[in-house]
Amino acid sequence: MTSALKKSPASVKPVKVIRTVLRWVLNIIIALIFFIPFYWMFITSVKTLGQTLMMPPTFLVSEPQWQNYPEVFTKVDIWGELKNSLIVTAGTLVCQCITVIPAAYAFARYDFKGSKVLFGITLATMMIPAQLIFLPVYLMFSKWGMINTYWSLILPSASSAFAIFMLRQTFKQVSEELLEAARLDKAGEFKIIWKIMLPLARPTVVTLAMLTFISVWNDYFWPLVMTTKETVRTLPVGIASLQMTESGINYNIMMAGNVILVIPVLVVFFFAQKQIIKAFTYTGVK
Amino acid sequence: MCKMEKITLRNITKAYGKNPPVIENLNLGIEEGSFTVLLGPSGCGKSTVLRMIAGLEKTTAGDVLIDGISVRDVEPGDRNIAMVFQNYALYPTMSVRDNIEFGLKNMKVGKDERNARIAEVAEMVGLTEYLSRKPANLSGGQRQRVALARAIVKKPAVFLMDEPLSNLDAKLRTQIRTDLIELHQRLKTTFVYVTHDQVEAMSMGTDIVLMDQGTIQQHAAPAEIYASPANVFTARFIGSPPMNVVPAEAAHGKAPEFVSKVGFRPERSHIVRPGEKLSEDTVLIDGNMLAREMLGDQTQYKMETENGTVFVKEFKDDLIDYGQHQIAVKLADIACFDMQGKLCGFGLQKE
Ligand SMILES: Nc1ncnc2c1ncn2[C@@H]1O[C@H](COP(=O)(O)OP(=O)(O)O)[C@@H](O)[C@H]1O
Ligand SMILES: [Mg+2]
Repeated sequence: MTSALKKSPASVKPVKVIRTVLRWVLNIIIALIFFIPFYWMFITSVKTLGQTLMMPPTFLVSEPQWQNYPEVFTKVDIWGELKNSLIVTAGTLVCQCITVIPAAYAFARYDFKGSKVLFGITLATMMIPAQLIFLPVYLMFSKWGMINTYWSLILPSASSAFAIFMLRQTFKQVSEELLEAARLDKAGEFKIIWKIMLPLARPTVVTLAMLTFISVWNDYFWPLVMTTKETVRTLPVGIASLQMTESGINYNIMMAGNVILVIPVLVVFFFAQKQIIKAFTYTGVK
Repeated sequence: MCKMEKITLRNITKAYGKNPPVIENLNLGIEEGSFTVLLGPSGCGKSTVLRMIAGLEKTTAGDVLIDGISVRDVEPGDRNIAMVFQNYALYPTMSVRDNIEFGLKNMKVGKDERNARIAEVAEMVGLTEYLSRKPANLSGGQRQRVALARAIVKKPAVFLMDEPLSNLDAKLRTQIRTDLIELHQRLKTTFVYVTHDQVEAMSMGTDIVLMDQGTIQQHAAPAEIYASPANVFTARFIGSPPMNVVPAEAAHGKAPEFVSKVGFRPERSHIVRPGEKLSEDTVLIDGNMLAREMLGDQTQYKMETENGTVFVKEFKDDLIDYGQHQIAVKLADIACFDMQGKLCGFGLQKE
């Protein structure tokens, strides 16, 4: 008798099929648009110098030149720069946690004197481009002897107006009753933030951390301005210096360096993607 | 009354922001060990009173005393109270167990003691199997139980509950109602319970504080509030259906001068059967039946009279047909209210 209950394949509507196919085609196109640059970077990194200059360019390589990778390590101090990048990125993340979380909580939950004005000023800082303030910041740091220190790279982005804004919006969605319940449970403000607010805002926090990570990790401008010596130079500056060879640009070596640069980003993204999707699809914290 | 007052509200005034006060000069004593119900229509300020007791809301003027001591400077977490919220307010990211344990940890209760208490309370409310679940994976009734467990486990001196049953379906509501009475009997601590449902108030409370527009209309035991409502508002609020109150003119001059309204309880009236013999001390009211509700052991009739609609409630087996009827009320059962709406007594004189 079960066969009678089964849907016959003939009942599938052709319009539906076309729509599904179209959706997949569109998805694939979008995926390709994002994928091709990465592929191009990778494939170039395993070409010979001759192949990189070929016209028309080739999209396949029969004999991958893996030795391009070790060569990167001989040209620049990758390990040292990786260490610097990690210190700067981690330092920035820690600083942002310290500054952003309490600020977002205060803006979301307290109506103190001048809170609206302060919040407005905070938002307004988002509109100031880094190129506008780098000179005064540079002069200030050099006066304090902070050029060529990690602090000169960490402090400029030790807080983030965007992150404060996003986290405040998330904190605002938490119902007042929940916080009152916590207060009756003898929880102090710190405990409320740590045990109730942050777990609820986890997708947002992970996403913001991810965005900060990417922007600091990839940042080229500040490290370029704030460092003159190799001691605290970060990976992007180091990779960019691969350009400066006397024999023209070795695109293959440069791309190998870039692959090394993006791998940590991809790894982090891989682990964070579930939370990121949640943050963008989540509409309410109940 | 020689019993101790657990909570005292002294000349409390409360205004939100710059709005006119929602509560003005309110005085209330809540007895130790009582199950006091704050009852009143929506927006009358019940929650505000409860929240001021909890310390979640500041008083604009006046003092809240617990055990005779002002708690003005005492944080909510230090008032030795527990609150059950309407929407439960469970911590969504914590398991049931962590929800229950959170307060104990903050109170610095030792681990062994915590485990013992959690086991006990989980057993008591029937949550033992659900301790590792997240609130999102529980039914409404189970969430309610977690909220209760979270309060009970702290062994507070006072339980505050703000419409804790309003999100549950009718069946569960009556069930948890009984559970709460049982809990109160068992713990013997003070309960302060907010509701707009007079049935809940009558069934659970040992004391009812009936409020309207920020003022206390009557503070009495359920039996008393039912038997002698202090005023028209109380009379019209208590009972299902509540007391029928009509202008004194309806009594055709039988009421004394100072009486402006008269009333009778639906269950103290009946519809006259054909050929029924009525005693001397009965008044008759003509009415047309608008609706009839058979509820098993009782029947409710909605009757239209020249002084407005009134309800009649009978505990008889025979149903009366729609049409024109007479309602019979004993004179002694008629309540008289004066110009201010205050009760002046029961019983009309037959002239
Ligand atoms: N946070 C608030 N801000 C302004 N007005 C409020 C606030 N909370 C309650 N009110 C007002 O106070 C009055 C009493 O509210 P409430 O105590 O919640 O009533 P109830 O619990 O009896 O329904 C209502 O008129 C309500 O509009
Ligand atoms: Mg309320």
